[in-house]
Amino acid sequence: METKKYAYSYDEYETQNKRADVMVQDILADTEFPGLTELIIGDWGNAWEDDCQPILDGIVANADRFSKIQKLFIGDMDYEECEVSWIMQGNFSELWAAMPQLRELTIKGSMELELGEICHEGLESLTIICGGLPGNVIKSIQHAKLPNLQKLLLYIGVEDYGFDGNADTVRELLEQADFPKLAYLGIADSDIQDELTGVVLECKFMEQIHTLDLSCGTLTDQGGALLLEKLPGYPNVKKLDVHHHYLTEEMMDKLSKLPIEVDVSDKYKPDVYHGTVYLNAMLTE
Amino acid sequence: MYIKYTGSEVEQYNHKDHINHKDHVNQMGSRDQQQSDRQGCLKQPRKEDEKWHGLPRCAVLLGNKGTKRTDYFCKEAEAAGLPVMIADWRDDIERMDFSNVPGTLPDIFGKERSYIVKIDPPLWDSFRLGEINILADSYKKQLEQLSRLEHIPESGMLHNKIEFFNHPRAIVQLLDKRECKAKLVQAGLPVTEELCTDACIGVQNAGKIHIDKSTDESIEEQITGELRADKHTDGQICADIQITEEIRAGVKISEEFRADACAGIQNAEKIHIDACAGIQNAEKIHIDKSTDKQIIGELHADKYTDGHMRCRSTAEQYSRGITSAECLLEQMRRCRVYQVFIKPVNGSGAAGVSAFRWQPSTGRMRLYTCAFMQSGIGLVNTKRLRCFKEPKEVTALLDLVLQLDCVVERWYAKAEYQGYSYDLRAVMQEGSLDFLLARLSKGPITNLHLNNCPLETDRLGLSASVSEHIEQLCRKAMECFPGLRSAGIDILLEKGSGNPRIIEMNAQGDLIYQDIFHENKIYRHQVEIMQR
Repeated sequence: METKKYAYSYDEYETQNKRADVMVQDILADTEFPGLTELIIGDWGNAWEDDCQPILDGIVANADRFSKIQKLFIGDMDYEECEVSWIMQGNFSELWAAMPQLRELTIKGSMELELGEICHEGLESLTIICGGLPGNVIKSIQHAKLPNLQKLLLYIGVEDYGFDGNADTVRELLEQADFPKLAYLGIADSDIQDELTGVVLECKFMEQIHTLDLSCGTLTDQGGALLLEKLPGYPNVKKLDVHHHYLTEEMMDKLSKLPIEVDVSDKYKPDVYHGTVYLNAMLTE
Repeated sequence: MYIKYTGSEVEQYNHKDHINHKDHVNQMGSRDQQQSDRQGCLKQPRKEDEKWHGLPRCAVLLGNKGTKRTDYFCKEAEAAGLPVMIADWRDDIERMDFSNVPGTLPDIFGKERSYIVKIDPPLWDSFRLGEINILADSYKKQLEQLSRLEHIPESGMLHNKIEFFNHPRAIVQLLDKRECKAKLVQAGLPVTEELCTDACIGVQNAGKIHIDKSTDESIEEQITGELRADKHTDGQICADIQITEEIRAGVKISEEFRADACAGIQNAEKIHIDACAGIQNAEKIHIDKSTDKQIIGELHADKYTDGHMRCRSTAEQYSRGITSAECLLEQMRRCRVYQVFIKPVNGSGAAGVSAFRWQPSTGRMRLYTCAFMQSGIGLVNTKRLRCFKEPKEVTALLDLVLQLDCVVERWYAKAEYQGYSYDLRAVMQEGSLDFLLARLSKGPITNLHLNNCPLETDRLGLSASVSEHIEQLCRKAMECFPGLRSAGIDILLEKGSGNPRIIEMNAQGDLIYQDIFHENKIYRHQVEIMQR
């Protein structure tokens, strides 16, 4: 897999007028591009004010030249470049048909994000990293036609940054979604992680997945106890990822003793301020 | 001036109990001399100072007893046979009478010998950020007074030589982040730049803007002239701008110049960044009068090919240029820089340092800072990085932080390693890069006491050219400060390009846990330098 990341620095943006609308042109002009199978798009310049639509449109307009790209990441930037919740995404509606060869899609940021009607035969992995997953995006995934989807990882986030639903929203998503080949289910980065753990453990996909990802959220012993109780009933689950959590040492120990691979790294302690306890998911901004 | 001898005899220095050794004061000289002679401490007497040739060398460490700085330095001194006298800031500072150094000096430097004084920083107990400047000023005064010590021998009152490991004046220069940065900029070294064009907005009521050079090829001769803003009324002030000296390149240029300038100066009370955009091709804009005393300095306008010309300011004095959140936001907007670091001019250890980001179109804000407003106490420094998001809360906190006299710099995206961003702490000593440590962080502030992770730089896989670039940069930075033998230099590598920029320098930045607990080579090298 030949990978390359394309990104503009602040100085390129300011002094060379590098912007989203010239990025596809720059990518196509790159002599290494024809050999790539994985494309990573980083900061397209002022990503908190200008969305990446020109890039998406550029890919669609030049679909034949992007026909070797199997893995695509739009918005790979860290907090030094842009707050996750400030990244201005775009509308992916046209991309599904334009990139039939695509196997993996990762999107970072959810502002202005629209997935439209998702219909893709070959897509195996869909990951959305954000501070708050908007209802329209959840709906798109809920009704998606992704017969070969094996991995779904969604950062749920918090209300302030775009998640306008609740546990029922996620329950409905998991009830209605049809991903017959799903093997990796991630419902992560939530400040209601315990509640969502209960929702996930009751969903139909529990019978078929091998990896359960409930990481980066506010999982406490309450959710931990649910996992201890229910997971033994699903011998198909071989891996549990709950890194970034608020579990006690005792619960961590119990979970680690499950006869599966368990990631309980990144233990956090609640913040107590003026008598109020604060738990934070990893990306809640 | 009274300084206790503590643990001063190399043979008797004891790490666990080195406080009560006052009794050795009187014996100190002779026993030290024997020790020094035996160890051959003065292997390389300085040629330029023959009169001190042969005098035994002794280190004086002005610092804090029982700290790692003291203990690990003394460990190496002991191993190398360098006698060390320790004076403690806490115990002795109040009794130090710097005003009468010649009279009291024999109390300490009583015997004929060659002394090298190393000054470690005093420990400050206060966590109130409001006290930073008072403490720093007092410390600077003490350093200034200490610097007088080196002149005493020349007065003939004593028969010993005193030199400093790091000269107190060099320490003072580095303590002031603004002064330090100005020196580096002057030397043409890449630094994390202060918010550009600050002068443009900060020049309130400037009486005169002097254009003394133009590099525009179309202008055959230099432009020399003045823009005078005589009146500060509302609205545009085209009429108030006069070119009082003839512009040598001719009337046509003068008219264009006038037009541009007028178009740019939108407001009589403030001269905006737009004014710079209007001043076509001026290489230097000199502000020689500012009635509010905010800025006196120069703006260098190097590139301004588009409407968003940004000046690089080298104003030497524009202290307290940005003193409020409102002023900061206005400045950021004009400079089109929407993420900045705000650092109190004085202070270390991330005290008051804040990373601020703003999205003008939505009004969203983020402020990452260890500063915290504690009711009943005021602004305090904590060891925890917090993120504030509520604009009201953010601007209130910014107002307080900016009152501390801060430098405002662009927040550069730093290079990353395995999902962590990092910067580097280099320890340079007499031209040698003795240590290079990466500080990995998940947040914008990398200081290690904030639960960030140190990492050996070998593991970063930096290319040879980047490493060489870093070393050269450090060497040149050291050359900017005469009298500086050792410094910790913080450097970031820009994300993408990997270009190094100096964040700041610290003349007392030699304590690196990753070194003292392993090789202790930084202090070993210091001792070697002192023994020369």
